[in-house]
Amino acid sequence: MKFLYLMLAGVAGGILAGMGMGGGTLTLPLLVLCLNVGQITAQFANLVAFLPSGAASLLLHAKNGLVKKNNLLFFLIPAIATCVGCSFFAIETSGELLKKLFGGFLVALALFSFIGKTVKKY
Amino acid sequence: MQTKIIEAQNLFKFDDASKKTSGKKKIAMVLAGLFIGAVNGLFGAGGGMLAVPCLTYIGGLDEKSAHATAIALILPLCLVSSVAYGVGATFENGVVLPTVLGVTIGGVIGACLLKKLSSDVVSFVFYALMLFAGLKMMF
Repeated sequence: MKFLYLMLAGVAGGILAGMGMGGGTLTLPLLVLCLNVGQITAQFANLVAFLPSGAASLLLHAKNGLVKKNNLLFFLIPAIATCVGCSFFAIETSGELLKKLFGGFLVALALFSFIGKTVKKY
Repeated sequence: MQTKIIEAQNLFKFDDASKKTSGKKKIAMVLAGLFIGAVNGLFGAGGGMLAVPCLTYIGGLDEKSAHATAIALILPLCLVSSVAYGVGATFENGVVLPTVLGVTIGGVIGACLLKKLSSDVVSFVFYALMLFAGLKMMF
């Protein structure tokens, strides 16, 4: 039964991701809050889950010429550097702290997105 | 003929603009990259939510291209993090497989729904959910 619940949490996050709205920001809280999965396991599951669908949609978008490589490396190279560092920090630190930090990140992101969307619309 | 000339002009304009990526813009891109990488590494999520606005406002991409290019930015990060987590951390059994299956199925459904649902309504519901979940995780 747990298999089914976990899968449904994934489906919910996946639908949002497919629509172009950060799916992980829904999958992670569902796993952690509703299904009592540990923070680091949930994060790992979410990371791995993005690989197949991410690769598929990247190929599709690239075929349609939507992926702009101009200047991409200015974002990508520093991003990979901090990503590696922070991944190891996440592994070493406690799940409880990560959970609180992620909660704060979600609140900030929700507020900023809401304000951004509202300003753009009205 | 005329459209061809306009096309050529646009092409030239685009070229011109891309050559003139100013130093300030480059610094902004690097800073944005540092932040996106940190978030994606720390939380294993959220990088895409940051990458799209950064690519739009700093990179100057339109919404569709920003979404597509964000994947090109996030996918390598997820790959790197997956390997780092996989090597360094221990996990509960039986979580990863169902989640991966679910997200993959959901991704296909979402891509199909995209053409049918008003994304504004979905966005606002999503922000409310995020706010609620975030507060619950913090306290």
